[in-house]
Amino acid sequence: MAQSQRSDGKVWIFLCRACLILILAMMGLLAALIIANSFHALWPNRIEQVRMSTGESFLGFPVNADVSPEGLPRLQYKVGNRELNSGADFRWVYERDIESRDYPGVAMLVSRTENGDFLGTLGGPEDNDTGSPAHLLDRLDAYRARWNAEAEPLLRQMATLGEEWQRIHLAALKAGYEAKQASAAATAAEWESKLHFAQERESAIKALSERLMTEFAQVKDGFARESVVLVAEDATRIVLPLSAIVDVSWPNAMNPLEKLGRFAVNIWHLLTRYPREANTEGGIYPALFGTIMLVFLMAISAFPLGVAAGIYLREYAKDGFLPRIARVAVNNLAGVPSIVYGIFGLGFFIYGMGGTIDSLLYPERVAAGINTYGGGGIIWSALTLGLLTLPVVIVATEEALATVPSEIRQGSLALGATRFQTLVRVILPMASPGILTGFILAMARAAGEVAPLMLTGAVKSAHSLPLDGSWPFVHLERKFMHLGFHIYDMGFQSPNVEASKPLVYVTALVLLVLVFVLNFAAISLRKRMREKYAMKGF
Amino acid sequence: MQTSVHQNGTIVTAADLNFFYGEKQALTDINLTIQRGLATAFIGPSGCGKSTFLRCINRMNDLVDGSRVEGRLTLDGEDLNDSGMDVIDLRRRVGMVFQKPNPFPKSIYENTVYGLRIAGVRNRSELDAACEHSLRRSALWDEVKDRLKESAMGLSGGQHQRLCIARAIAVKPEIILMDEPCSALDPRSTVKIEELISELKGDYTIVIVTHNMQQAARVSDRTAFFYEGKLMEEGETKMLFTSPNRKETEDYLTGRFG
Repeated sequence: MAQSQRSDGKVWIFLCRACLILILAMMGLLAALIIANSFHALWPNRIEQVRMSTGESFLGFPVNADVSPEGLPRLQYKVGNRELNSGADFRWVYERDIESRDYPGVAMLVSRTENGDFLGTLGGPEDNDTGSPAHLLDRLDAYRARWNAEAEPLLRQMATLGEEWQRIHLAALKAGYEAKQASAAATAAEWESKLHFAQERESAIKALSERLMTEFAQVKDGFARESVVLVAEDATRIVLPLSAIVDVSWPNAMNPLEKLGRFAVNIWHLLTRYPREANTEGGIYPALFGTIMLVFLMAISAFPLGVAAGIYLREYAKDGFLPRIARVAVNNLAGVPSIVYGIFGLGFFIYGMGGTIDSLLYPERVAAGINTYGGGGIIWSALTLGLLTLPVVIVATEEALATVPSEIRQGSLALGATRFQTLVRVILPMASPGILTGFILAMARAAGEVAPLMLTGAVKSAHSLPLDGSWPFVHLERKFMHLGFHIYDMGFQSPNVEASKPLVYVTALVLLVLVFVLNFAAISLRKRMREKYAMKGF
Repeated sequence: MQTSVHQNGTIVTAADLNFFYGEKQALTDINLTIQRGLATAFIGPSGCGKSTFLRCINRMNDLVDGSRVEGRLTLDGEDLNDSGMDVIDLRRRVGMVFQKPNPFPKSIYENTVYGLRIAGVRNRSELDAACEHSLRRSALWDEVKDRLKESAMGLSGGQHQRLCIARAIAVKPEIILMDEPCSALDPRSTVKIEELISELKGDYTIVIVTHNMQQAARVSDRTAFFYEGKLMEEGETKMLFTSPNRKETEDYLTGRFG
């Protein structure tokens, strides 16, 4: 009896269960941490008016609480108004020095294009203002409408002109280079004339763009005169041009429904706006866009290759020496650190392939020290990531093919099907859930990969997206922004790490959601395909 | 038995057929003829080579690495193992039904016309006609005619096997090989398949491998008894079951081994 009690392994089962619970708890903690902080970052929090026992008072958001080395509890506030506080957004105060905390309805939060947030109130009649929020919002609406009507067309024109200048400039570069290289006098003359034409056009564009710039400067001056007076808690007044206002809100005066609306707007702005102030403020649109496009490019480069290789290895390659070597190599490739793939991408794709493309197609740019494909670009990052996911795709394909029962193969062959027909008509459909699941999981992993991207084209700030309205619309050679790299940049490379902390959490959440969506897609796809193709027992 | 009506010569002839899985000899000096239009049963204990011989007839053994055939095996006088023999064509002439029902994860319709589709038939009405004909011949039509587009996976095990028979019939083979077609089925489904075999023979030559001696007695016209890779005895089923010539046959039939 005692023997059987000892050998039934209850202790081990308990330990296993404890391990599982520990793991789940840690994962839950991670998710909770990120979600709670992201929520805090996007929710319109109340502005506290803190009165100190010294008589001083300030406005701020409590962001942190701890105990000082002397054992006194203290609070950290985000107080904004960087230019008034000698460059600091944050302030620590001892709890014992706080006399009262209020939430005045007039307290406003202004996000600005420069100097971060402003916390204060609107100026009153003494500043020739009504001090009414509605009035400011109306003014802002009118201002933006006027800006869109008068300034935006100019900006668009300037952007188009800039693109054209870029093209002409490169054409001139090419013409000049070719003219110098040409051996026949006739061709040289032809290139000379092209160069001449391009140069003329270039100077015409320059003149036009200068005129536009002057015009724009005048228009902008007119806009700059429109401003609002804001009052900080210590009664300091600042005059803020309306053009510097990104958003303005009175969170303390909001009812829950308005807060919810504001929360939604904040999420929308996060996903659709460009970053501001060295990535410490604003949205993450280009990073999100870059990540999705990168994953997409990676998918279309890695999927066909990996599936084809997997099919060949499983269905056609006999158990020879080479296939065995290939299998070992594939399995080992799956364990190579991603930074190594990054180095390979840099050396092989960028310097090797990109450099060759440049020297073949754009020798004139190489001569002028301009990289086109020979520098980091989204295409090289996608190929590097594709290489990184290939082993997983190959193994998933092989395993999915192996799960197709041999009776099914024989059934098809016995009806006079060739091996290829059997593969295409029966085996691949049956293996497709497994192949796709493996592939999507690999894709999800690649979506969060950062190290290889740092070497192959992800940047802190990209001035244009790799997909836009200018010919040829898809710019695979362009550098791009990426959520994972963005997190690293904001969290550790930023000039104001403390201020960008909320954005780090939010970006991490977006990346997690992206990966989660991919995984979820994999699971539901697998379920649907299984229902369609799976063998049900009899 | 009215089978003599259809009896018009041999269709398959094996002459001194030897078969090897690598080093292991699975069949030794098989000499056997299979009569056109009859149902021939192969019986014998496990591992006696009856399935191996069956699979020689449509060359499914080609799929086994290291397998090797010696001797002559002919279908309508053509050497099956001749280098000029087109295996794809052969398998269209010699259909096969497996031990475990193996319908494809496709619709009932697509399962039935699979053999035609891979043979390149595109004509819709031709496919429809073949589908209906084969499903009627396999006694499945009335059960599935309203759900031809539904997945075949939803059918029962017995229906699966009849679908596999329909699939084999659709390409109009001369011979249908059946490798223990009822061993994975319940008794009721077994009865249906047996009825079907009786129904189909005459139009098709049927070769059935079975462990079930009663089944062999019920459905077959001729029976061949295999033992340890050799053909022990072959003859009219009635004769073989009532007065076997060889001791081993008698021992097997009376259940002394197997």
